Amino acid sequence: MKTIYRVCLAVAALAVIVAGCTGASHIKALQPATPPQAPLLRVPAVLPAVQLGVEIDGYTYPGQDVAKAAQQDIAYITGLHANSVVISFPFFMDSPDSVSVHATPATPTPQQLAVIVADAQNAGLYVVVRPLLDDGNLHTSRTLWSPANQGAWFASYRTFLLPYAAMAQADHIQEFVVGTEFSRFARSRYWAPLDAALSRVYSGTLAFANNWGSAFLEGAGGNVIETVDAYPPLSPPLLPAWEAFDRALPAGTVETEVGIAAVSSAYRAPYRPSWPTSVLDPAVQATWFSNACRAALATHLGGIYFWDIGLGKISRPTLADQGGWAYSAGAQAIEQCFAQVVP
Amino acid sequence: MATAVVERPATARASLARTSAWYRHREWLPVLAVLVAQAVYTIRLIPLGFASDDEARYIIVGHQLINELFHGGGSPFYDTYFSGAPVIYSPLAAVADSLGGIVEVQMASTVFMLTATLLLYLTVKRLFGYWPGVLSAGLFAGLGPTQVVGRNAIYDAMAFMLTGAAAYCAARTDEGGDRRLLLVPVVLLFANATKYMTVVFDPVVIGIAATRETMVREMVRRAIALAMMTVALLGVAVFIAGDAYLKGIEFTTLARQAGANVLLAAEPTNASGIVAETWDWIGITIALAVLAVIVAVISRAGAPDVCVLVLCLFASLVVTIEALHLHTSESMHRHDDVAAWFGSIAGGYVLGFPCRLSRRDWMAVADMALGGLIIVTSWAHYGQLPSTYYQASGYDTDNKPQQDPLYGFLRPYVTDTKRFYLLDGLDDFGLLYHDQVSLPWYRLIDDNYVKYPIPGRGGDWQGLAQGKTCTSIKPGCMYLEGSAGYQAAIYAHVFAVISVTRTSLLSTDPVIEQAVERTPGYVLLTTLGGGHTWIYAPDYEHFNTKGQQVKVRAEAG
Repeated sequence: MKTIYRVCLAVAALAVIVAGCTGASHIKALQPATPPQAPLLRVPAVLPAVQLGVEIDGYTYPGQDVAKAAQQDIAYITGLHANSVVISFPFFMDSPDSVSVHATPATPTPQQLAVIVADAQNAGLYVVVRPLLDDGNLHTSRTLWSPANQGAWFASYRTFLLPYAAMAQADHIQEFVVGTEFSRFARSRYWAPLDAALSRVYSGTLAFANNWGSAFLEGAGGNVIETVDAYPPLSPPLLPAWEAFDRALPAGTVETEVGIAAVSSAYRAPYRPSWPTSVLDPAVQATWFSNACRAALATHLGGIYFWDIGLGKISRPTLADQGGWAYSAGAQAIEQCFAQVVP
Repeated sequence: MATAVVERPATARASLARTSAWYRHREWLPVLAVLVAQAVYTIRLIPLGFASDDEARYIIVGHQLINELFHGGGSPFYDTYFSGAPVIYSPLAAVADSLGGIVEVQMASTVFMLTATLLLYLTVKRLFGYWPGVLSAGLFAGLGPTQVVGRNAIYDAMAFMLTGAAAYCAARTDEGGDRRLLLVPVVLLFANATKYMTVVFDPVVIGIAATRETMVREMVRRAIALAMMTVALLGVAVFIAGDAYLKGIEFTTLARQAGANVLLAAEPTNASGIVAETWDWIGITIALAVLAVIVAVISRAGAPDVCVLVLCLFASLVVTIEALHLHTSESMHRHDDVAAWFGSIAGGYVLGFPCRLSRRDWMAVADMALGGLIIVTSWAHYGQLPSTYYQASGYDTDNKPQQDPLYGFLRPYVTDTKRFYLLDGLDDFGLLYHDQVSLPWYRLIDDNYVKYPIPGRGGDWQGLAQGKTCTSIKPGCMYLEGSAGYQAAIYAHVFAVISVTRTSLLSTDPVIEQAVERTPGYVLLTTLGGGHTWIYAPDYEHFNTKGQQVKVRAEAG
């Protein structure tokens, strides 16, 4: 009897202890410190084995809903099975002899650009940003122009670029293009100091976009990777012609622009944006794009980007915008090619 | 002879009964005061810091073992590297965790340690009398390690309590064939199984039981009998438990090496450092134990008392001796607590010694006052150590972590239960526990051990398929372990997250880092926590910049 009593007492004591501890364990003062809030980290994008993308020509205008425009663009691009995007942002000069560059209301601010970038990164795209000199006031193509006073021009250009480079660093943009299609002064000694200045605020990859006819040697200071905006005149059959063009490029080169007008004779001058015609032929774009893309894959280029869609302006080919290709045979060709690689 | 029986009034009888009850129970008041003080001192530590990786490990393992019990799923390898049988403490911890979270598990340790103190009082009372018992309890309760062990949600407290229970059983035995002797090896078995290192105290406990005999010959017979029973029970238990447990016992206890493993990654410590650390934590009990032996010899105390005191002195030093042998003080301050438990037996003896000799009440009171003063001083000194300890463990005085931990960070990256994660063995369980992530055990690999099933050879991550395990790819090998296993798994993009967060002594860490850097697709996510955390980026393309999931390429199918 005594043993049973003791056992019962022990069990009761144990129950009281467990119940007491359970009750006490919920006392707020006894709770351990809350682990620090996790920082919001971004998943870094991996350099795709081959960059398959579209270029956004990032002209904006006052009052534009950049977020909405970016959302539309990125949705369209991802719908093409792209894994990458180049976002160009325009800057301006007042005249060919001007020693300074500047932004206008058509230039997205770094904050606006960051909105587009964030959408692209959210969609898992590899992101490249690049400045693009609007040659409207140059009276010639930027590929044929060079600054009269390079020292002053580069100083102004650096001042313009640094806030964008800082944004690129803050937003973990993988690649930043320091110059686009400046064929006439690609070997200027001022590129190296510019690269160094940018490198101080941006730790990602710096690049320089050559125009298709330019030599590929030590452009833009020599410490950056080089890409090519590819507008070579080619004759059918296009696939071997593109393959021959691609094989002449350094291994792993990325074609940062491939585009053509939806005009029957455009193969002869794909760099020409507008032709005097009243009839459009989207099949030209489809054939051009399809072969360019297939050739890029066959020759193991680093990637290919198709020029272009506007910011919030995803254009079909029209007489006013003959280079537009969205929602047409050109877009289908791009999608079919990209889908071979990106599921 | 006629005896006159005088009837007392009923009220007087009741008063006498109350007085008797009071007298019967008032002896508990000093012990109760000690226990309350110990509880307060211990519980104040509970809110300090986060659950350590060890605490998280035992709780998570307990949950996994319970889950395995009911649902199967293969046996984790915990028995091969735990320093106590995982089936004993961990399930209890898991149950407590389910009831009240980490605080309840820690409070369970507090209860274990309070019980250990109570057992100490009862043991010493049995051996040397009441006041030595009270003083020894007061001495032990005020030690920093007692409070640290009582606060930590690991198996130490339970093991120490069981060791104390075995010692109490030993002290309770009388001469001759006392049936309570049978309890000694059984309780020792539980204590040893809970924490393997407590086996070093088995000879002390058996020795205490032996000293309950008055004849030397009987002492020897009892010691031999108990030793044989204990060894036999342990042998049978190990045999039933199997090779994995034997491997775990060898790895963690018998053949333990400093810095040999992520779980035993303490840096080697020189002898003077080890001695100094012991002195800092439990110096007073060792000093008093030495003094007790001297006093007992000089005062010509009985041989059994001297034997007990010598055994207690040995016990109070054995952890330090083992640390000197291993050249590391890893976990020593916790293990020292069970040493201090035995040291406090001798401490109580010597502090209460004048009281035993004195025939005058005022001298007894003076002795108690002196003993009390020593104990209060001890509390004042050693009671502050735990806060120092927690500061040294990575928490500043405001209870803020001194370095950025990964806690709260990895959760978004480790929620997919179909992926594998390679996390640093020093904090993997802590991360999962804090982030409340529940993964099948075989999805979590640490930098200590990997058993990579070579593709196409029939192996599996759960180890259900039996096959040869090799350290390099050879014909007939089903699994790869060691550096080759890590390299092969990383090259195959097996791990979605790889986190080597701290400077480790392990040779596998540089191998892992090199393999990651050579494998396309892995990107450095962060250096939080003082190391490197990579993810295999293609696995996380669906993450947006704010850590939320978005449906990417929904349009693209």
